Amino acid sequence: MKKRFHWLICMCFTLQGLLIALCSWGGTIKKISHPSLNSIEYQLSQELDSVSVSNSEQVDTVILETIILDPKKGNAKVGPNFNSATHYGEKLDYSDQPAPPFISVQQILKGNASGVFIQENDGEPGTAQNIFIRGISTPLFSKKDIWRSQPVVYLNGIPLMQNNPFVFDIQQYDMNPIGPATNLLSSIDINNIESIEVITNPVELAKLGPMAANGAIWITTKNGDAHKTEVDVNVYMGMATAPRQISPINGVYEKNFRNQFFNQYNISESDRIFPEYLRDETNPDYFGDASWADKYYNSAPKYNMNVAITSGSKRANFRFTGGYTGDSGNADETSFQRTNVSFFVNMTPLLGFEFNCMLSGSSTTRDRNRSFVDRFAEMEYLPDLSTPIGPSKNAYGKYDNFYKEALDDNTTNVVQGYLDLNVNRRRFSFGTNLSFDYSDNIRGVFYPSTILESSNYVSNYNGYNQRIIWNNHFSYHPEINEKYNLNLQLTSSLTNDTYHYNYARAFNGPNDYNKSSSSGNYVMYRYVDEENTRLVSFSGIVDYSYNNILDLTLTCRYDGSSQVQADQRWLFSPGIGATWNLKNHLLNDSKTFSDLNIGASWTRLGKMLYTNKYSIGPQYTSMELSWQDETIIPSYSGFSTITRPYTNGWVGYDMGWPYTESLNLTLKAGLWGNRLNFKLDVFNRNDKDLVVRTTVPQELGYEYQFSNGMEVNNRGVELNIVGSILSSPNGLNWDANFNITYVENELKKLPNGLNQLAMDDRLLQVGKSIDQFWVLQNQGIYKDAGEVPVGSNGKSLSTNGISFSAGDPKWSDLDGNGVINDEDKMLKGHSTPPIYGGLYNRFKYKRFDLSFHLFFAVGHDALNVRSSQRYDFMTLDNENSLKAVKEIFFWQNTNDKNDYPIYNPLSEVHPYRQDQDLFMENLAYVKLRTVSLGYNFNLFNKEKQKKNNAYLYFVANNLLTLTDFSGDDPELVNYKGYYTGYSLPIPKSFIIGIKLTL
Amino acid sequence: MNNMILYKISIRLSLGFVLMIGLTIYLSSCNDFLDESEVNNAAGETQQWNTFADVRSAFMGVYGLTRTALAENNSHWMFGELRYGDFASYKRADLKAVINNKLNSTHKQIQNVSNWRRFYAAINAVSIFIKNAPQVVEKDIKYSEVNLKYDIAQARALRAFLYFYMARVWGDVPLVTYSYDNGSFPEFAKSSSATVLNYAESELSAVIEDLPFLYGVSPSSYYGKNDDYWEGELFNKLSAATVLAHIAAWRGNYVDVDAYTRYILNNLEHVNASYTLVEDLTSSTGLFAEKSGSKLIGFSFGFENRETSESGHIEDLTLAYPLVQKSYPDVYVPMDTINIMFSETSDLRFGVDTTSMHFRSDYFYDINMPIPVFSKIKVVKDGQGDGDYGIFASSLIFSRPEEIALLRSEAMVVLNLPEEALSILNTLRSNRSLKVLRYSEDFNEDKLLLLKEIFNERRRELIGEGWRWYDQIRCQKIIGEDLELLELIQNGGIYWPVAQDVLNRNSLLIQNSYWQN
Repeated sequence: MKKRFHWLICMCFTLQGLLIALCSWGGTIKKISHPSLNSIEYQLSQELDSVSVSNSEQVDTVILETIILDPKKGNAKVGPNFNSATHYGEKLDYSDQPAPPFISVQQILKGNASGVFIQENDGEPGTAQNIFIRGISTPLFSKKDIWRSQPVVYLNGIPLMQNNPFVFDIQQYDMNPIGPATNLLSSIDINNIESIEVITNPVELAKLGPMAANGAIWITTKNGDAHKTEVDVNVYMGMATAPRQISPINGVYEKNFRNQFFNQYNISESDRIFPEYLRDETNPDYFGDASWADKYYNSAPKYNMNVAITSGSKRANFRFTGGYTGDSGNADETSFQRTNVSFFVNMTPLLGFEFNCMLSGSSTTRDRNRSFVDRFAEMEYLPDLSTPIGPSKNAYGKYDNFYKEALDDNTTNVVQGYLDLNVNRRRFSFGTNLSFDYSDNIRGVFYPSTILESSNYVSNYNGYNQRIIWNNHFSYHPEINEKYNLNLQLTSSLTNDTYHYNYARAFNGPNDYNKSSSSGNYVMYRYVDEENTRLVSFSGIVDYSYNNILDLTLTCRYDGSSQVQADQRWLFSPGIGATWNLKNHLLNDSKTFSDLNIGASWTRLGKMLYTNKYSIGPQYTSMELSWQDETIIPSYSGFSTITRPYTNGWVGYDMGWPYTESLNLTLKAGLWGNRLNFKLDVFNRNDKDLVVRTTVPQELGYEYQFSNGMEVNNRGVELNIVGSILSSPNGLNWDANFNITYVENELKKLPNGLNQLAMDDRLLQVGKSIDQFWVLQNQGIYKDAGEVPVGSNGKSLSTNGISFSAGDPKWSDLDGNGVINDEDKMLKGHSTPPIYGGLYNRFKYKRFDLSFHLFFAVGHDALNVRSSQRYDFMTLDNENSLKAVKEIFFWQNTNDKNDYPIYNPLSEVHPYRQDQDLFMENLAYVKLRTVSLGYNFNLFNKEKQKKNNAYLYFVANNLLTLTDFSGDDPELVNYKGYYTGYSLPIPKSFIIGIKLTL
Repeated sequence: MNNMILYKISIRLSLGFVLMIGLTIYLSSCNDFLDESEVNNAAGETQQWNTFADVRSAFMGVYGLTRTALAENNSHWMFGELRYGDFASYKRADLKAVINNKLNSTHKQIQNVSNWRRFYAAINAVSIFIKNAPQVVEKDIKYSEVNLKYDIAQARALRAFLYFYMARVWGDVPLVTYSYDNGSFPEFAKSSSATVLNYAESELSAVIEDLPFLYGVSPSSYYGKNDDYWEGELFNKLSAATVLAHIAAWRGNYVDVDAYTRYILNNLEHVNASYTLVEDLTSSTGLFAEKSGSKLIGFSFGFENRETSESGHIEDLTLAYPLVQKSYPDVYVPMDTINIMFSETSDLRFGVDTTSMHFRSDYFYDINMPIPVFSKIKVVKDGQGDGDYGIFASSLIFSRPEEIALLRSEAMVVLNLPEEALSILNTLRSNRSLKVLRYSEDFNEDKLLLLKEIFNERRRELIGEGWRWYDQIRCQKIIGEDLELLELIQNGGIYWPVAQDVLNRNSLLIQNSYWQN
């Protein structure tokens, strides 16, 4: 019954479209004399010019497609991409230079666009990287929360799908998601990107809809072109180099390290507790050579080969690209391979009638790391951890050999495409667009019994994400007056997202020869889940401009989502933006100012929840029989169960849309013919009615409840300066681009009138930042027992019933009650940087060009968990948890910090607990990210075009880091600000490449 | 010119018309489009409580949550076995703290164990079940009145059992008997443990009549299965009586203990329960692995249904190489303790073969190791595995006939019927190949000596089953010898502290007095 409605919707829109097309067609036939097409083009480009002058980010989905994909426009280069006034740093333009040899969109954006902060906290190629635009909009308690604060990335107008974090529902540890866990934004062919634009302007985001509530990144690829027939070839190859300064250690070092604690407290030999592996000093595995690193770290190749063919005529043109890219980490034989193919066709069968389509696919495979912690977290089975792997070449080599029997295949296939129909007749324009984004994720794993206490392990993951979008727009551009310009637009959009996975894992098969669970006799567990969410949007957009002086944009949206409960699922959200061009209005004659305008824009926009869970209100689940370290116990006595979601949290009625309200003020100035451009943005964003898990009294069995009503504010300033400092056609050219962002966040409100909320290792407090560490204040050490404060009740300071004594840490008793507990923990530091930015310089002399890129982040901190674990050996030796896992690369002392106080190893107050400011470190850093040198041969070039046609380039990456941070690399800090030491290093790499245009 | 204008107007009108119609239909169908998107891993209010299968899932959920409450973080053994018990911790500091009754230490595990939320989850599930199950009788004819009666009786009995269990562990606890279930989360103050035990007692007395001995005796069936399937899996009449007997014993009301235990022992055959042979008790495919009516109260983790788990079993703490791939057990019984416990060489559980002078140790693996492995319970995988993969399938057995018989014997002594007490004890002793004791000769007609021997037998028989701590409390309440324990009993130190997390979230709660800093 309901299926029919879909057809109805389809029928309806198609009919509507056809009718409009016919009507407008009919109109022009009768009035052929009117220079219809050109005028529309002119008007649209005019409009875009004016719009983009006011706001560099102003790009509208539909208009952009019309312009860029318009075969006639290919060479004319109108539209926002090529408008010099918009080239303000938010946009990265690769139309006439090769894209840098990175593999993911995040890596390209890092440090290059104001407002954007990229977390690349693992050097393993292809792993997830986080993007935060203008701060974090929601507290990050667990990895799931990262998804809620990510911006949306559009590829030629298709909002790309990311993997759904619902896989964490069945996972015990908040580590890697099951499946290949490949960064889906590394599936895009970087060489084919023409420009990347960061959209932060509220009213522009309002045009894009709820998916863009956290900001949007707009990627435009190169496309077919009517006016050129071209073959592009881009080839590069290079190396990710092994780290040079490794200082491996063995058992002697570790034993000495521990002995300093025992010596300090005169603990007799017999009372010194060493784990088994440190007792026998004749064991060559632990006390012999520590040359594991020779096997572990290796230089590895990076390469790319990319071909693009563009050709066509006015009426039809195409672009075809194909590429193969390989990337490697420098440790643990990690690598990444990607094959890309894409195809663009643009046709104009009739005047004013356009048909465009894209089909783009990629296949990505990944060789992942072999860290124990990742493996145990995936298996959710902890073996006996008391004996770590030894640092000798022999011990590691043995493990390495055993691992050769293992399988770890990760494949991600992505297909994207659109069909786009546009009818432009006189003042009307109608377009319909069908887009899809499909990715499937396949992972097959086999771990032989030799690497896990004689039980082997198989797992298979097969998942897909599928998004289908149907967009329509209808715009009308009435003729009023030369001075006024008005454009009215109605759009509608249907989005259907499906996420699905099948996952099976099996333990303890009969042998290691048959690497699949089909051989039987495995203890097997199966999981299936699917999430389907839908979004329906309507919007009305009014663009008005007066004489290139004043631009006004008004948007009204009406969004309906399956993620919100039926009675509240429709949300009306307005947006407004205005720009006043002072240059055109008042300073027309000024020689100094080539551009000066101010703008303001405000919008409200619903936020996506990425799950339908809240939409059904109070609910029952079948996942409650398990517990903390036992994720799935499926049934009782063989029968599946249904219970309330006691551990996950109560979901009530009256849960509505979370939404964001943002205000942005812009000042833009161009001086001396735009030799120097400034852009200053001041923003204030309130994310309201956010869903958060709050704690409840536990006597009804619930751990949490989900409530709307959290409010988070992010406010800040962005400054962007672009200058061509030296400019001479045949001499030295120097272009520089500097961007800096300051952002601070504050928790404005918690639901249910709460003032604070403690969740695991985090505390949220109204009026404070949401990214602060919650730590005890460490003030040194009690040198003797007399220093321990004694309260008025005669009891000395204690924690959990244990009194402090000499050799214990001095923790501030903030509430002065004589007991150190959670009440004495304070909020301190920030895990995300309040200040960050980048500096890009490009020098050009004749055919040479040299550029370098620096980026920096200041004002944030890390909690050095790695140090805490090294010092806390007395606890971790006796603990069988993921925290106690010792990796092979823990046998080195790279940059370890060693100035911590030496506490009594026998103390029972847990002196080296992680949550104290002793382990907090300032994380400020500056990195020299890229240096590149190029030479343009100008071969094969008879017409002496300026375009590069044989361009040889060298690029060096990640050359230099300036920081006070004691760990390897200040970037290898996770989303919570914890430096765990488990990440693989980000390698220095060098490549040489050539780009030919024939 | 006029034509032109008319033409324009007509276009606009027709356009508007089409748009209007289009939008109207579009909007009305959008809601359907959105409605159709389903939620997969959760069921809304309207999807539950409609069919027989819904009730069954909710009913099994109650049992499952109860099992979780007892097994999570190995609670049952943390509460009952380790504290002042016979086990020593090999190197785990948290377990050491539990053994030494230092329950306010920082260890996360101890905080988790002292959090009672998991008990209240099961209790809330019971209340929801009682409220909602009756409506299904009308909705689905497959769900009969009799079925409903059994289900409600079991649910209430489970709730009473959970309250009894909590009162034993924490003393005073909030008594919540209504589901709320409407998004309100009221705070509850503690009720005295006497109130809680009264409630448990009255609930059990109310439902014991409704509970059968066996479920699904052919030709009828219970949830599609017959009595052999449900043996030892569900709460029956004797399970309720067992809880009643223990409530009475915990309160020192031995007259009731006498009544209930007599009833249980007289009706064992009705639930197919019997005393267990040592081979069966200690076999990896024996009582702890199989379905059996001898589990008067038991919760299974059947391997065949993949309900096995790593934690939640005594094996998680006690087993080590070669039974599983773990170098040393977390806890073990030191050799000295073993020798004290098993002083008679003929004991089948642990003794010495007098002819070959070899240890006979069904309870321990390789007694010559410095750290002997307690292997009485060792259901690894399905019990037939090689120990490569350390998941366990042993049932959590709360009580079995031996336990009840010993409880009865204890009551007999208190009620001044030592001969009767001894005869029960001797029956059990002869099952374990121990010599028959005589009241006059072996005990000098001293009741206390007899009582101690009964508790010694409990210690031997029930080790690893979570009784040691409670037995010591009951024993000391009667004989009053151990001053340390007596002081704990006096000060409420026998109860666990309430987790800080629980206290933080409910302003009406205060920490148990003994554990206030």
